[in-house]
Amino acid sequence: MSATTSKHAGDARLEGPNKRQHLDISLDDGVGTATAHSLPTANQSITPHGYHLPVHGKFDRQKLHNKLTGGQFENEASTFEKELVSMSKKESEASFQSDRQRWDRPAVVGYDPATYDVDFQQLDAEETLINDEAAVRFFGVTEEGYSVLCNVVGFRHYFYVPVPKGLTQDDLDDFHKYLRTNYQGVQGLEIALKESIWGYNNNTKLPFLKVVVDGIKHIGKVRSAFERGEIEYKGLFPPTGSMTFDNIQFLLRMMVDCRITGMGWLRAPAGTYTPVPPEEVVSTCQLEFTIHYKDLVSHASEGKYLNMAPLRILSFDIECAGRKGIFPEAEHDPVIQIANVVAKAGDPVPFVRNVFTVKSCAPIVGSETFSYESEEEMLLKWKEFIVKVDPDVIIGYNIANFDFPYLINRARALGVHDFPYFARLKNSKQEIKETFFSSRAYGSRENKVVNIEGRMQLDLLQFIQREYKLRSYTLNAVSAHFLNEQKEDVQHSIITDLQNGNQETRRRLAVYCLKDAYLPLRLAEKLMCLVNYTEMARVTGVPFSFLLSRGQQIKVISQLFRKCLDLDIVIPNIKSEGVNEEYEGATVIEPVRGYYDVPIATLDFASLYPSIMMAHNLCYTTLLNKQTVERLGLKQDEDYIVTPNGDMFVHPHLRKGILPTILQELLAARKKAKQDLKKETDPFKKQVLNGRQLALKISANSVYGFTGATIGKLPCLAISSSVTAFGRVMIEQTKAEVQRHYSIENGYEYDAQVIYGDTDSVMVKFGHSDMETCMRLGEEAAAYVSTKFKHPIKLEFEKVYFPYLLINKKRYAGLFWTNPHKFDKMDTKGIETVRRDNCRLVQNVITRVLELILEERDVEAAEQFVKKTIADLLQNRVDLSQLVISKALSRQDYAAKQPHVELAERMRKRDAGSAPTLGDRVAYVIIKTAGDKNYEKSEDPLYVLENSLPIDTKYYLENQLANPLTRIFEPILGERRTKELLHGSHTRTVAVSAAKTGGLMKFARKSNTCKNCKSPIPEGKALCRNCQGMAGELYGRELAKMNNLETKFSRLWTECQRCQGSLHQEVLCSNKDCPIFYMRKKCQKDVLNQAEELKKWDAAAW
Amino acid sequence: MTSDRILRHESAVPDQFNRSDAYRLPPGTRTYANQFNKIYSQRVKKLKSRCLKRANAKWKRETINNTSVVYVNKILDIKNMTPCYTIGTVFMDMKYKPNILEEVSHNMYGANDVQESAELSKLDQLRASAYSDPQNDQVMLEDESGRMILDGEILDKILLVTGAVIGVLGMEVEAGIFVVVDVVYPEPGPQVPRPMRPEGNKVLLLSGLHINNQSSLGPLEVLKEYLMGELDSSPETVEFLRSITQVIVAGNSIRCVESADQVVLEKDKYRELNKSNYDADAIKQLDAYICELLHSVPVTIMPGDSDPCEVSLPKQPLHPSFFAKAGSYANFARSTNPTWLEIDGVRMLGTSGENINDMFKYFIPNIQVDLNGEGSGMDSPVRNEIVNESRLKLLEATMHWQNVVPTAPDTLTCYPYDVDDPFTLDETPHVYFVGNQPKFETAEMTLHCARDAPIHVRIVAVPDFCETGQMAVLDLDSLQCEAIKIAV
Repeated sequence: MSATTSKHAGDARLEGPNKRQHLDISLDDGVGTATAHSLPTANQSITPHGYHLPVHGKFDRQKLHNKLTGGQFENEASTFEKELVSMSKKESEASFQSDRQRWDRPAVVGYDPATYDVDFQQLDAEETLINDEAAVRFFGVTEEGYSVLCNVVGFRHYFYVPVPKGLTQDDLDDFHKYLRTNYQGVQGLEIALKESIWGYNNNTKLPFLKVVVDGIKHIGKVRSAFERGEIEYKGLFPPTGSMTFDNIQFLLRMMVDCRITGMGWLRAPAGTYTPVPPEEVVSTCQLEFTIHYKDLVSHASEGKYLNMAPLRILSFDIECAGRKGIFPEAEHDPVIQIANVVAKAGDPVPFVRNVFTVKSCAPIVGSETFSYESEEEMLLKWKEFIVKVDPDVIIGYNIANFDFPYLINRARALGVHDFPYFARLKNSKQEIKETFFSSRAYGSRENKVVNIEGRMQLDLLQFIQREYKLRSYTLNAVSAHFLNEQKEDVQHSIITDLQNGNQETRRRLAVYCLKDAYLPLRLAEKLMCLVNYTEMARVTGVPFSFLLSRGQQIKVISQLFRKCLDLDIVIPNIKSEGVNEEYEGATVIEPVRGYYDVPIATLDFASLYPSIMMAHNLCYTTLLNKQTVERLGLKQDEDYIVTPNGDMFVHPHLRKGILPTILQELLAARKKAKQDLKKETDPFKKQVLNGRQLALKISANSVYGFTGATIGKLPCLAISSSVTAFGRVMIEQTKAEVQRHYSIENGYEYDAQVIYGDTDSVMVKFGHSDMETCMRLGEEAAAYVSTKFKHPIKLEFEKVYFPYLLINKKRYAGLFWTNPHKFDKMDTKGIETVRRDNCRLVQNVITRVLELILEERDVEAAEQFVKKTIADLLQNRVDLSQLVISKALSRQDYAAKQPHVELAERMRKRDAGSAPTLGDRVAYVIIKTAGDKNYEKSEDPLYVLENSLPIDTKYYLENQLANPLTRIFEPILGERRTKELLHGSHTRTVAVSAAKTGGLMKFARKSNTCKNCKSPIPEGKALCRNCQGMAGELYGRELAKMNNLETKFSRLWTECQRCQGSLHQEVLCSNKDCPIFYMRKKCQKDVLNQAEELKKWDAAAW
Repeated sequence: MTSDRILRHESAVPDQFNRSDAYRLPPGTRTYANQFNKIYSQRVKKLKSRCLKRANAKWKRETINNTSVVYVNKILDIKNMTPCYTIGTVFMDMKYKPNILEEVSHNMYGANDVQESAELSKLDQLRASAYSDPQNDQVMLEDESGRMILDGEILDKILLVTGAVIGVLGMEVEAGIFVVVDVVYPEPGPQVPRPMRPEGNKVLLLSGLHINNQSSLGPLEVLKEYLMGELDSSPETVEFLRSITQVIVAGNSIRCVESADQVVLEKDKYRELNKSNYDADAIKQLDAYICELLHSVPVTIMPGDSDPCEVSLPKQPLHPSFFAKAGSYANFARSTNPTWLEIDGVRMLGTSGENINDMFKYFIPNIQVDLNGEGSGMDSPVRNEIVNESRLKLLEATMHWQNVVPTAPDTLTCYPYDVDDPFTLDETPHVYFVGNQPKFETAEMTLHCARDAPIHVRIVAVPDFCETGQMAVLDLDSLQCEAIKIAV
């Protein structure tokens, strides 16, 4: 949605290592890697994939020769007849192509409940009531593409309470009666032998009461009655309350017990299900039926059930006509266009492409336009479209927090009451809920959620914010990053003008809108969101929707419950204390800072934390306390281990921990997935398997975090602290072993030195300067040290850094080698080039410097480069876009004055229309002003260009460049020469552009000066008498400058024409993220100035 | 000092005629306030009706698949599977066009520009900046309303570059894809009538002197001596030389090998560096050389790519101060590039070759394109051959399109005109010459009109003197043209 692109921005954050040349997004399918500008195809259409582009042959010299010498310009259509024939042929091919796009699903064939097994992939699940009884609805799609609503009935929710002393089997009926009379919904009571997950208890199962309660409404009350000690039955239950077990939401309970995983395939066998009679149907699904949960079959996700049903993925984007200077508000500002593209999963070409517009819109090739006179009508038609096209997945960019809420609020403001009914459930009204999501891994975020039953929602913005750390999260920046494409952007103040123009201007807008709808689809494909999240849902068992709306813990919980079910283990319902108890984390070996010109081998512990947990059998179920040790008479080291943290866990011969078991299974499954991946040839299955192994890895790693999450379901610091304690000891031990073994004393050529180590890796300098030896020693050392640790802890040799620049803890850079012949990439960590409050210049300089130092091994060139750049900066030759800093204008009530807030305020005073509004990102540069506070010095880059305001180059040198450069160069050059780098002779010449406004400029009179020596001379002349002799050369220099600018001007503006896909239309784009946005403006000014300069030479003679 | 043994004829050269300032941009008139879309609009405005005139004449009664074709005014209004014709501007979508956005985002822009381009030879540069990848290039046609992809076998036979305004006949067979079966070009602008009084005068067309202080001036000296009649005093030769009444130097008179600006001065190494074509010594030599010619014959000099002048088209006359000596002669003229000249009533349009050399890049495969397994290196024999292909059809094409520099502004730098596209022709010249071509070529071409009689134009590819030792002599009566070769 263009009106809000700037709102897509997240908070300032760190980006991963520099990605300039080594961008690596696995399994590249080649989409969008070709050119930076999107291929402008027919009629500025949205999609380079959507058409069957004319195919041309390879280069043919003869053909070219004929072209360049033939008689082609005689204007005789000699081949006319032939063309006609081939054209008619094409016509028949094309005839079905040009039909109206088909929206609806394939018609159902052969659906007979007595004979037809319904196999479907389950997509969305929800709890519901059917005939006042709790039930689960599964929405899904069959292999044929039929939509399915499967009502699962008969399943009852339950929890466990330990059977109190004195309660016997005979009391059950009576107790049941007691509960029933006092609490609603209690439906059954039985005694089962179970074991609590918490603590080793000599493997004895104890009797537990299984309290079966009807569904969602009542179970909480009954449970808390037990917990608060409100149950007064024969005085058997302690008045202080009893611990209850197995607190998990109904939906997950049902899925766990029926072994159903998110995105898995289910079967309703023929004869077991009952179709819902047409008059009672609640959904728009083609197949709607009811089945008892015991009849439902869940297929394991393997073989043919690895596949994806032909899901329909809708991506859409809306445009709003806002008022000048105000972010669109649904109460006032109309929605004027909605663009939609729909594709089948796995098929890159969307089969539906259309735009709904208010007022007429000229046609767009390859897309349908539906124009309506009123906004109300358009909204309703769009709703009908959604229902008809029936998407299984709805994606878009910032749809969750902008597009959906806006549409719903707008419909309400207009009184279109029929609008918010586009879910699969006919009578469910779409409403907006505010949720607050807080997670240690993802931070806190306020989100809006719209219930669209039966349709999965995947907001690409949220997905990317979760999975990638980027400098900026605007759709522009994201597509530049992943698709390598710059995107045209229309400023929202122009949108209203375009809408109020004619059908051609509205068409122009519609093309942008379509592009914005299409990009999320391409991003989703490129990033394989759907496949990877599907595998994550399958591996962890949670419904797909949980992956975006919930944190990490739910995934571990789901797996834990699944495992516990098999082992008759119950999980206590622990009230989250909310104490943020900190424990000691990983260790860092003090770095021996410096620049290493010899190979540095890196030894890594593979899956360190999971393997520690497996090796030492760390689990809830193996945790011991002193009493148990004494009670059972266990012997240290023989029966149990005391961890470096002082906690005790029994050895596996007494009890195999449940977490180690889960981890083992995950890692074994990952190993298998990786093996299958190697063998698989089908590209789609490859993606699936890759997604799976990734999901398994993430899952394995999140188990440790779960035990340490103090605000969690089942925190156990004994486990998490022990894990990190083991980790610390192991790192230190590795260091000691390596240094002891690889020493001159032991017959080696050098004393090996561990120069750095962090969490799960150590960097070893063996001293040899050749790569082969170093790699051999690395392999050897890894194998040798591994023998010192318990299985499955394993030290692996992975890579060599050479050269290696170790700046500080968690700050280093080096070339990454995995084979002795060619390095793989440049790897940097913690070199803060990517913070968004750094300008691009910093990032570019640092990247280039590292390349020069590490790749080209030319420190002197790096120095030269830095000096040149600093000189360029001080002499005002650096492109403005390199200096732009940007921050999101989120709240007005910052305590301290902030540059971007102050600037926004000043801009509002200047022109309320174009000033940034709340949620926009404010781009600014620091300029020279009378004041010296940063917040006074921020200025709008465009304003700076227009008024030739002087940049505060000193600020950029000292506050932006100095620190990172010092950090890099100091280990190499030493303090003195580094200082020279920042303050040397190259910093002497300073050029400042003269301001045209403000301050004293009103009173200043510009006098003509000699171009060379700056002494004043009469008007109209170029040089003073003394410099006349150098006239020719000086003129040549000015000319050269002019030529540089002219070329630049022409290249910049033609590039923008190409990017927008039209030569005849004016470029309107205001994509501030585009690297040439400011450049082209600046160039326009510069070239004019230079033309003025040259004018003076026209009259001059020498 | 040379003595002038030749009593030369004189041609009638008017001081001023209606096109003499067509390409002048007087100082102070440039605002750079526009984008380039205006040039294209002006171009279409001028040429659309002229194109339509011919299209109507040719296609009005045409049928395709038994359906009468219709004229569609806006590309956007073309209906699927409906035979029709329309008029628009060609756009070539090519992967290897220079892409500043990519360079900037990869931080390469301006990186080693100065040094590298100085090291490349002329041909290397040409090859390095070829745009084409025949497998991926797409031809499009657009107007103010929209754009469509062109397809059809005819595209294998005709030359098209960005900026040409053409009419196409065919139909849209698939969304956004138009199969072309025939093409028309704009009706040519009228030719002014040529006075029929044979004078027997001739014009010498010269380009690519590439004077610099390292090159040998040998061939140039020989040329001069030849022109002065010092080499051959046979009566035929003298008579021939007498008839040469004008020398036109069509660009690239100077080659800057290594200017002072490129030598990084130790004390001033952090100042701005731009590629400069200024070389005081070379200019002095040029001035002296021309001055000597002026003793005997009038000289007009056009600025070219390698000369110290503004890079963007139209190039303005070289600075008067460059010609301290020659400037004082009345028979010396500094002209623009492109330029209109009138000699003995013959209207000539000339460029220094940038237009054709840039168009050529649309057809030769980029260095990165594999040439049928023959490798993609610089020295691939195929590539060497291609570079020397005929350019004549390209010259013809610009006449057909009635635009001398169609690829500006797309791939050639030009001034962003506001209310004019001076490169579009309102008048068709009698002679059209283009300097700095790999070899001498000439032809008389015919331009068809809708109703009026066809128009003939003499086209001349003026060779690069430095590389070929050749120049062209044009007879102003017969408009025949031949090459003279200086062998040293």
